[in-house]
Amino acid sequence: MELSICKIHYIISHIPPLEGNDGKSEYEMWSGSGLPSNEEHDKKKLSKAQKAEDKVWKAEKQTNTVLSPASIAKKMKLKFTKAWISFLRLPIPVNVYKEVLATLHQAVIPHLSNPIILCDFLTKSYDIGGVVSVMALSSLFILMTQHGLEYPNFYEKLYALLSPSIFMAKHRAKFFQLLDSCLKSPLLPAYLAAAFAKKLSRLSICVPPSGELVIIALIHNLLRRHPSINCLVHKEDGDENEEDKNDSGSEKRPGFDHFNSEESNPIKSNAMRSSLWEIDTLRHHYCPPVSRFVLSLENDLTVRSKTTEMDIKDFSSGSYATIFGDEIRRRVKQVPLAFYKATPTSLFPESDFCGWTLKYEGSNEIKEQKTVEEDDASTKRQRIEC
Amino acid sequence: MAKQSTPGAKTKKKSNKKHHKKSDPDAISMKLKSQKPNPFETIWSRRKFDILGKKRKGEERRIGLARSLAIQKRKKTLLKEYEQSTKSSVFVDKRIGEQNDDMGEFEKGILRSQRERQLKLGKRSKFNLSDGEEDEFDAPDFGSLPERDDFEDEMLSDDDNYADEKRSTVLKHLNSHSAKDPLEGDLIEGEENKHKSKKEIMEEVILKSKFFKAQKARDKEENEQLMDELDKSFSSLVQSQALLSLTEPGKMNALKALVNKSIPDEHVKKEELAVTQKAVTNNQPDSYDKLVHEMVLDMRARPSDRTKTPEEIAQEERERLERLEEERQKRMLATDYSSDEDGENAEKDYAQRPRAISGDDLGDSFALDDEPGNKKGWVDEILERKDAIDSEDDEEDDSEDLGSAEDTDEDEESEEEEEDDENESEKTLSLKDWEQSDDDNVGTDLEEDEETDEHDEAIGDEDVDKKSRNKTNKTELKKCVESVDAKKPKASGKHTSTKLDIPFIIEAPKNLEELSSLLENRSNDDVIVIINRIRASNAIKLAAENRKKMQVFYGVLLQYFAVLANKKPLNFELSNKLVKPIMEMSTEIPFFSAICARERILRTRVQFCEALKNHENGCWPTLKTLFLLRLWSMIFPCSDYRHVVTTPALLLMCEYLMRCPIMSGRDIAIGSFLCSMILMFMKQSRKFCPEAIMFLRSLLMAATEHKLASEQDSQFYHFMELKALRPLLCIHDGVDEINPLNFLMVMEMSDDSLFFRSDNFRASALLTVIETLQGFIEIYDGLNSFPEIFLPIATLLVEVSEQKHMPKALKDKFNNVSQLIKKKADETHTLRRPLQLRKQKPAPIKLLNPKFEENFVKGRDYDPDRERAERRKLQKLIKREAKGAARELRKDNYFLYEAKQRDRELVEKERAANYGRAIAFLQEQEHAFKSGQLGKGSKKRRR
Repeated sequence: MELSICKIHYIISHIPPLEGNDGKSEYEMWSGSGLPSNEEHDKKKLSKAQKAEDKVWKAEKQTNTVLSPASIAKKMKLKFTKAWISFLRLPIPVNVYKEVLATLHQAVIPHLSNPIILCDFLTKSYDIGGVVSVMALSSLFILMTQHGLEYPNFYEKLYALLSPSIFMAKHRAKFFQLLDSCLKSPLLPAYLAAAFAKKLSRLSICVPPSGELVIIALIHNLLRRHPSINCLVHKEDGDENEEDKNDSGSEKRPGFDHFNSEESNPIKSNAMRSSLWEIDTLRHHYCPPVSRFVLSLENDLTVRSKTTEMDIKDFSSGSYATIFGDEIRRRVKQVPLAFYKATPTSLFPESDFCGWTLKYEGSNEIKEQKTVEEDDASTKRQRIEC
Repeated sequence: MAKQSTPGAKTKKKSNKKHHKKSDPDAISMKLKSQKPNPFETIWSRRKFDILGKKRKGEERRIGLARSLAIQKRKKTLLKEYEQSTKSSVFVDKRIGEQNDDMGEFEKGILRSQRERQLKLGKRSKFNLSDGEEDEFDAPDFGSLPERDDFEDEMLSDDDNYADEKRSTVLKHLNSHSAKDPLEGDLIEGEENKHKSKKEIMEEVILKSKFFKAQKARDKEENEQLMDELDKSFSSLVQSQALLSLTEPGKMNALKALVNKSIPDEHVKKEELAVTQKAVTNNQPDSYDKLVHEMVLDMRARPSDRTKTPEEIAQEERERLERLEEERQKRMLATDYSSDEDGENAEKDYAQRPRAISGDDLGDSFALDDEPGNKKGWVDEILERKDAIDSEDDEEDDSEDLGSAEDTDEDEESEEEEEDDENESEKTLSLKDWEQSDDDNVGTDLEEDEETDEHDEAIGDEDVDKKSRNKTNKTELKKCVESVDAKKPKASGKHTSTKLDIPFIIEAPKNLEELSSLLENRSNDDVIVIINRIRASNAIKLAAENRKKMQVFYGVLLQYFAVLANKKPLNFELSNKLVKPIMEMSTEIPFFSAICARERILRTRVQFCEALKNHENGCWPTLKTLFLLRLWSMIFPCSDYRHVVTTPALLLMCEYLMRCPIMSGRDIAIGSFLCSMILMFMKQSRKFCPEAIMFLRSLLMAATEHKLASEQDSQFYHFMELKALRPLLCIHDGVDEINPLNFLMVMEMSDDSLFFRSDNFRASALLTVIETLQGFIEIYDGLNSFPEIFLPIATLLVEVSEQKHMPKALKDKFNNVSQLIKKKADETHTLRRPLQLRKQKPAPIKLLNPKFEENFVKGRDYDPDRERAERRKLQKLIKREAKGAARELRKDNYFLYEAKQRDRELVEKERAANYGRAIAFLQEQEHAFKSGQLGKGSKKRRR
């Protein structure tokens, strides 16, 4: 069953990307539709047959292009579309599903006769959440921007997609670019932009350095596009006092973060009353590029003429490898050495380690030394066991 | 009268010039004078005092002249226009030169006559017979032209006799001209003056330069003469006794030689000095001079022993070691031949021997005493052999290092040395080359390292052999090692009874085999002693080439350290003891050590990435990597903002934490150990490291029984889905006691060891986690987003602590930490303020100090803003121009009014005249009528 689906996918995705305008078909999938297996089998056969037809068609077309290329192309497109749609109706296994989503926007949508057909499939995949949504986003974005698809809760879904896992995901580069272009419009309401900015900054305390760079760039762009949310990074004392009186007179904790990161609805997240303290924390980040890059937010981004947007592309494909590579490629100009009054004589000196936890230090150090002494006794025995 | 005469003189001169074409400076000056303004046309005020540097206004204004000029100009332009204004036709004067104001009547005449002649000489008139008059016009001398003017033709001749007469006539002529139009005449003269003066100036310049050249030549000659004289006098002086008494005999000879050689030029000064001195000595020497002479003759004080430079100290150290080594060798030879008693002596020697290298080899002699003396002689043998040669070389040459190196293993060593030399030279070249060469080195080191990793089970003689076999290029070395092996049994047989010694002078090992063979079977203390001796005998300060050796040795030592960490059984004590020498060496060659470290980090990361792809074996760092990372964090400062070694190392550690999947309890242990190492890294600088926090958090999650419903935690499961997190740390049964985790033990256990499934392990792992977490809490409490970072962890902690089988101690610990977090979070909540990233810089108060301008010039614009100054200047100009224009217009109007007035007056006068005439006529009529002469009138009328 799965095997056959895989095969179908293989075939269908290897239909050559078409001479001229021959489109690839779309695949719509209603994975939840739960067709009975018999039908599926039938459909598979059907689709296989269709594919075979397709190929025949193509062969014919190649021979007969001279006759009526336009009409043939049209027919081809229709056939192709049909094939993909019927393919997408099948319950596709997860790995194939991801593959389909990854190639959809490049290989298929441009060649479809009516790309809007895909919207059901895509919205459903988008609603699944997690990596699948991220992957569906790129195709959905094309539909929305180029084919006039309206998606009511798009931003809420997008907001829900922001989670730490996307900063390690494979397709993160594409996602961040899309995220940036989705948030490009200056017509977005301030609460939405603020929610995105705050959510991103909240994420910044648990992502790798490459992710931090992207987050800073995204927030930079958001702040620049929406001068109204600059209160997130700069709030005068006067305003703050007023707000204090208004909202948290009882609490009397000006530093309290009103932002609710678990709220999935950006309106209710209360981001406008918060402040991007996390960004301030990043100034102390151990990775020099990050802590330096944070400073770019200190420019007054409300003055649009003096600032430029950051290109997310420059950061979106970053990883540990790129940052590490940059560091290791730096020229060695000077090598300062650690200074000790007395050169330490052991690898894990007690004096150094006792500062933080005596017990744990014991766990490492004292025992380590013990092992050396008891090396022959206890540890060896254990080793022999192993 | 005077005024009349001056122009006359002028013209005279001018005509003179015209005739003789002679450049006469006097004439020029005269003509220049002629430009002096007419004193009657200037206004001036009588000044009582001449004030230096004061500019007097209005001195040179010639108001009258200017006014008359302006009026004349108006007459020519405005008046003409006015006259023309009522006319419909215009008379155009096309006579030659009539429009040109610059031309005088005379020139106009010339031009006109030229024109006339040209017309006549045209084709039509070619064949016309010419008159005598016209022929004469062809005479080349243009200067005589005026003489042919209209009248006086008959007097024409070029004879000099008539020159005076002619001149007078010309004079008259010109006078008339100048009388007519003085202004024009002046102008012409000015032009001519300029023309002539240029030539004059050029000539003068040439003359002057010639004069100066001549003067220079003369000066030079004089100088030479003077010098010759001096030479002569000096040579005579040298012969005399006076100088002899003054100078030392040695110098005297030199002087004489100099004189004889007759190269006096260079020593002119000296000689002059001498001459002056002679003059002084000729006088009676006073007490001061005597004193000076005495002081000169005094012996100079010799400098006392200065403090030693580090180089010298190193040298002495080495010498001392050499001496000791020699003694030792003597003793050893003695033991070979005789009995054990000498050995005892040697032991005594050891006891008496002053401590060898530095403070840290305290008690090594005791260790030696305890040492069983078997199986180690062969190393000594080799080393002795080397050292023997060494000492021989010492006698011959001071550069033992080179000599011994060459002598011991000729081919291989020399190869090595070539490399060394190359590296040496490269070192001086540039940083980049440097790095590359070092990279190469390290690369080979690492290869070796890997090989050793493969066979780290036992490093014995066979191992050495294997490795040397692996090296295809170093066959020589292999032979050497084999020979060593061959010797070994003999040596050991020989020396079984003798005391084991450590040579004092040890060549720096060039690769790991050498070092490991050197250190093999030594006790830990011995190893340190050996390393210290190697360092002392090859100290960088001793010789330049030692730097290279030490670098190689450093690489080897680092490698040894790494291999040691991977060895089983682990010799942790030795690792600890190696730390000190390695750190000390790093301070000597910081650059090299940094590059070594970077290369190793890079390599480790590459390996790590490969391991990540494979997945089958854990990609967590090995003990070796951990030890090295720790070592570097000790050698290099961790608190630097950016450091060439620690920053990549930290990145690597964080990457481990982020990307390595947690598969077993062992992984947890390693991960939490990495976290604590990161804590050590961050402790000083308090830099924020999200990876460590996240890792600890995920470990805590692993301690909970079930997947939590909480929204945020489920997010983290997404995050950790790469890590396949299972509730590995969940404690299922009661735990009797919680021991701190023994990391080294954990490292030696395999993944599937039962220990990792025991609740004891879990409890102790949780303990380490909570301790590390506490450390992080303490160093991060200053961060602005402390609550955001740690509050979720606090709730998690509470959750974990409430689990069923949680031991009491751990529970308390967890609760304490969560309380701590809450307390600090509350503090932050009350203390922190919303961000104010965009602080405006406070505007500086305006300073009101008076500004002084040095060398102030009145009237100059000192505005620092150039643009503004420029603008102001232009505005001033505009204003002035506007004023000038208005004035001109006003004057124009006035002029016109005058002209009109004149016209009107004229008309009035005419009309009055007419009127008068008419009245007179009428009166006459009346008179005639009254007087009865009517008839006359009627008569007239009739007529």
